[in-house]
Amino acid sequence: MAPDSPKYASVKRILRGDTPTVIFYRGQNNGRLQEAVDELVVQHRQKLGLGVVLRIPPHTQKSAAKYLGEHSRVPLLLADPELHRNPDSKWPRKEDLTKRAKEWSYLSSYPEKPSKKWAAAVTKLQYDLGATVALSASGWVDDANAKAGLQEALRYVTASREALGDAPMLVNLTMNYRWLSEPTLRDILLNEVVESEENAWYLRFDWPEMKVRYRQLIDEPVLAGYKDVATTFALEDRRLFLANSGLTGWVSTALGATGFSTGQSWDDQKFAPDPIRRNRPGVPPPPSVPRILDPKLMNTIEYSEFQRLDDHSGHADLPTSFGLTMDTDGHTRELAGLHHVATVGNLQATLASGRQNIQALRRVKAAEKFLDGLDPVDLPTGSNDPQHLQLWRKLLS
Amino acid sequence: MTSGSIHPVATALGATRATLLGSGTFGDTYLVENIPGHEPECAVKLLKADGYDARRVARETEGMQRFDGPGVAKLLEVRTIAVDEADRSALICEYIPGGDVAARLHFGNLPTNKQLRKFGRSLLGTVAELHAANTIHRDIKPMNIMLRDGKWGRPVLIDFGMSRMISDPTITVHGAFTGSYAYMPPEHLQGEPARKQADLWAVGVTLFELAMGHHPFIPDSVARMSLADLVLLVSGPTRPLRPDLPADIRVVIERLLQETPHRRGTAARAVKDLIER
Repeated sequence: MAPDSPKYASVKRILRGDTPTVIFYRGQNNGRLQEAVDELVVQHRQKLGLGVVLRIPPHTQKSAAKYLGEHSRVPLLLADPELHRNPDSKWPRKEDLTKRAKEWSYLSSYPEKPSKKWAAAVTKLQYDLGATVALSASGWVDDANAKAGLQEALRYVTASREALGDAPMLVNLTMNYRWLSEPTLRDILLNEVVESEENAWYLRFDWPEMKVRYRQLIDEPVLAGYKDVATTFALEDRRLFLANSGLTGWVSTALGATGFSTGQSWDDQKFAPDPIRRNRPGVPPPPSVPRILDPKLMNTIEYSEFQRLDDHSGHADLPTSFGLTMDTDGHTRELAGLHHVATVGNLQATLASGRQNIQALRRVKAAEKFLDGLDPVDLPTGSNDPQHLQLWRKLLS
Repeated sequence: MTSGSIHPVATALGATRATLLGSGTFGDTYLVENIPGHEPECAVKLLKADGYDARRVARETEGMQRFDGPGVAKLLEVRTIAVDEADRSALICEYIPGGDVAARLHFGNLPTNKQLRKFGRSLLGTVAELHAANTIHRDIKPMNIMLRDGKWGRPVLIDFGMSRMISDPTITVHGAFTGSYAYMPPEHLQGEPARKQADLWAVGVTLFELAMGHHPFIPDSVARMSLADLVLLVSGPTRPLRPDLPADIRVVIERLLQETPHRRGTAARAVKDLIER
């Protein structure tokens, strides 16, 4: 890095919870992620924690090693072993391992009982691939026998801690959304969080089916669960990173989480089953609709709708260089993806000063005010309708 | 033993004198003077003859030996001694002059608000240290909290880790609730193992008693109660706190007595919150 390059918030600062943080997936076909990250660090410097995460199983050894190497300037680098995919996992959406995933021996050798040796191998692999902070070698937490299931998963966390000593580690658990929405399960989870001396957690919740693609999560009990969990983490001085949570992660940061991971593709913005879409035989699939993350509405909407709304005063907000390029050169998927990353980072940086819930509430109210100022015929509808705003306002008020 | 003769405990330890301080679940505690190799005064807990073999005692008190702070009574040595022709485990501990919190409560000698805050901060600070090392006391109650030099601001935990050694199945819930049951949270009374949150509940009950002079849940008139009734009682609301109790103390006590364990928070958080505003 050149001597005059802007300084990133350090890993220490991020893990102390001193800065709101966002961790990005690169997506499959966008090698330009670093450009968006660079734009964010120039703009926000140490006020925004930045990270990049690699999903190990879809990669070859070679491509995995290259991935994080291309982001070596970014302080928080994670290599996610995605242990919920192991063949013995009780994750209901588990599929057979792909040929490539099978090449990662740790996935098919998940031990019946936690072992320090195995945990050491999984965490060492993460470092070998360029990670700066390890994720514990733990996977899916079954809720059928919730208390026992969680304690079992935490034994794998303990094995990882024994393997890592004092090195920084995130407690890495993947669990069903019911752990958020059902008070009994949530209490079991929070009892363990408060009981534990582990300070930083990386929790991924498998959401209910998202009936409308690209929309923010609008399941009220799940959102209420996020609020309780995020608030408890903050009160107890613990760090919470919410994996694959889209802008639900942003609201959760306003409520007490430290950060979240998301990406340019819909698959990285949530962890949820998609509705099954069947193409009729002989009928070509519908053409893909250009979309963009609208910074004002905090929702991914059709690009044509975005342009229409942009003609109304008060819509323009948090500009990105990629968005401005689209204004002149037209929409491309690549630019929309980079704009998404930069916008998410900009939104997260708005939480860097003042009371975070107030800052977020201000943005939600500004979005609602903009919508209130539109003629009813101009209001966005269908998948463009930002139904999450009123739920977010309730959470933040 | 005739008057003037040396107590058998003192004899077994090579000391000059042993005076009985009290008797509890685990055995008798003596103030023993001049044990060779130790301070002039030591507290010696002589465990009951049955169920406490020396190896188990050593294992269970290992946690106590790891701490060197002023808030935990130092365990100096575990020794097996012959008393009345039976081998007994003797825990030789630091002697803390000043009496225990139970005696203060018994005589209605309650702390001022300022003293209560200091007591709470110091006690919770010690509990936070123990918990940070993944160690649980398991039997916090007024009888197990000494006041070093009689000062409210210098509480010292004794009988660390001892409750794990209870193997007596005949223990029942009775007797004016002065025993450990009155300090156990609902989940522990229902058979869950004691965890850090159980220590916090016990601190909450103790702070409440020192603020009010009575137990937060159990009416003074009740001297006998079934375990099931006790569970129901402690799962309900507490008796009211006095209105002039400072807000910080009130908030911490109310939080520590939450039925849901995680809502009690951590000891570290409670220490931070006990600040005069």
